[in-house]
Amino acid sequence: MKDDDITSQSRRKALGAFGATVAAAPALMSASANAQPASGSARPQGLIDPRDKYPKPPFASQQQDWPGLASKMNPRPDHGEKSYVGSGRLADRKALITGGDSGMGRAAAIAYAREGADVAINYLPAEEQDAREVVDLIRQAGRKAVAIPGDLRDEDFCRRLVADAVRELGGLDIVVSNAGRQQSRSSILDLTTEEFDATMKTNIYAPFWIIKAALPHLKPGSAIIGTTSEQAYDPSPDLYHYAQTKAATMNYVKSLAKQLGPKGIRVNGVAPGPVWTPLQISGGASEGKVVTFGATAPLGRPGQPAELAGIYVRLAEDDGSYTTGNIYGAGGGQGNP
Amino acid sequence: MPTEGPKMPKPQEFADSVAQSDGYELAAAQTALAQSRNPQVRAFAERMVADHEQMDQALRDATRASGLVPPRPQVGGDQSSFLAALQSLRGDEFDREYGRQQMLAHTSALTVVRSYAEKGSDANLRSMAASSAPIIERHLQAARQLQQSMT
Repeated sequence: MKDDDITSQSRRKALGAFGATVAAAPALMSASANAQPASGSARPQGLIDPRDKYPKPPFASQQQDWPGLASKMNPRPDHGEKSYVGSGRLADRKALITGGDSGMGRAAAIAYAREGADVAINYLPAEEQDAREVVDLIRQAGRKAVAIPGDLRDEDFCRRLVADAVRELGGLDIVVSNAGRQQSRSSILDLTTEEFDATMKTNIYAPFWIIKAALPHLKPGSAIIGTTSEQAYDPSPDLYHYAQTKAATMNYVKSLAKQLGPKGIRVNGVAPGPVWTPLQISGGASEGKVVTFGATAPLGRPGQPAELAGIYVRLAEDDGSYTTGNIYGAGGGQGNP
Repeated sequence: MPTEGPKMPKPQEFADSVAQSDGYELAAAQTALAQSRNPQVRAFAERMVADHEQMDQALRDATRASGLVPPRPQVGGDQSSFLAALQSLRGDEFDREYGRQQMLAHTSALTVVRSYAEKGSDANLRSMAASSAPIIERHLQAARQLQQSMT
């Protein structure tokens, strides 16, 4: 999928391009045929059936080494590259997004830039290829893009990340702590201290270090957003370590909202259900789960990162000014949060 | 780091996952026999009961031969939401959902056993996986036909 000429792309073309690469999703083509674009707008008209909007399982068996690349997934996830249309909801805001190279972080980065924000993204050096695409997309939206690769398990790097973002962006008023580590282990007996520690460092310590470093720069009106999960409420048996970090995220959002509300800073969380991201195909889900990913959701398919972009915008924008200490979900019908 | 990335299941993990797959197939088939009047669905369900009881026996034999704990055919994680969805439907809706689930569950099971037959570490389980694969493949084809007969 090419990411050029985004804003003039219609939703219909976007779905057609996506569908052309996905032989297993014939329903997609009929959905796209029904979604006639209005002239000069990428917004679809008429009703779109959420069951048929995106590819459904079964998917091709695929595994990548951690952390995995969105650009090598089949089908490629949709982060809103061709569909997200902004309307100035985040004009001149300054955002830092961890894990901004792929998945929900990438969807948020694209949406934020098209809503008028300058965006710094963090990612692992191994994810440079995905990150380059995001940097290009932010620039194509006419906004400043800052790329800061590095491993969030290191406290010194987290402090440097915030300092670099503040310096390059000329301030900071949105912090999206989104990067996550997830490795499926069917038994606690096979879970090493090293893996447990890496999961805690990435998912719990890094947000602590980053928010602590960012807070002195955040003026009233700023927003902090954490990516939690349906796993916070209904953990899978093979995600013992990951799921508890997502419960911790859900909880820190509520604690910090109480701490920072009196300072005019809002803190909220986003809880995805099964979403088609590199996290899943690089050890986050078993081989058998990948091929049927999202099948048990009442919508019968996994979510796509693009389907959460609007939530990240909503929680950051001024129109959402009374929303703090809350968790917004996109769960595909599985019930949480 | 050696712990990172996708891992091949250990022998007991693989055995447990096959047992969960058998457990779901048996429970779903018994639900179908109780709730469906569609003769094709009932015939498919009867075949699942017979074949998965045999496959479960082969699994127990292979685990014993390798000194592992023979797992019980229990419905696990994801399969339990499949089963809950199935148990709440009636009539044509039940039959369509049963067909959809069977296609998906057998796609998943086939991926898992083929991969273990090729790369698994335990010889008895590898051989069990290799002889299960063609049976599951036939089930997958039958599930697809069942799905098509109901559209």
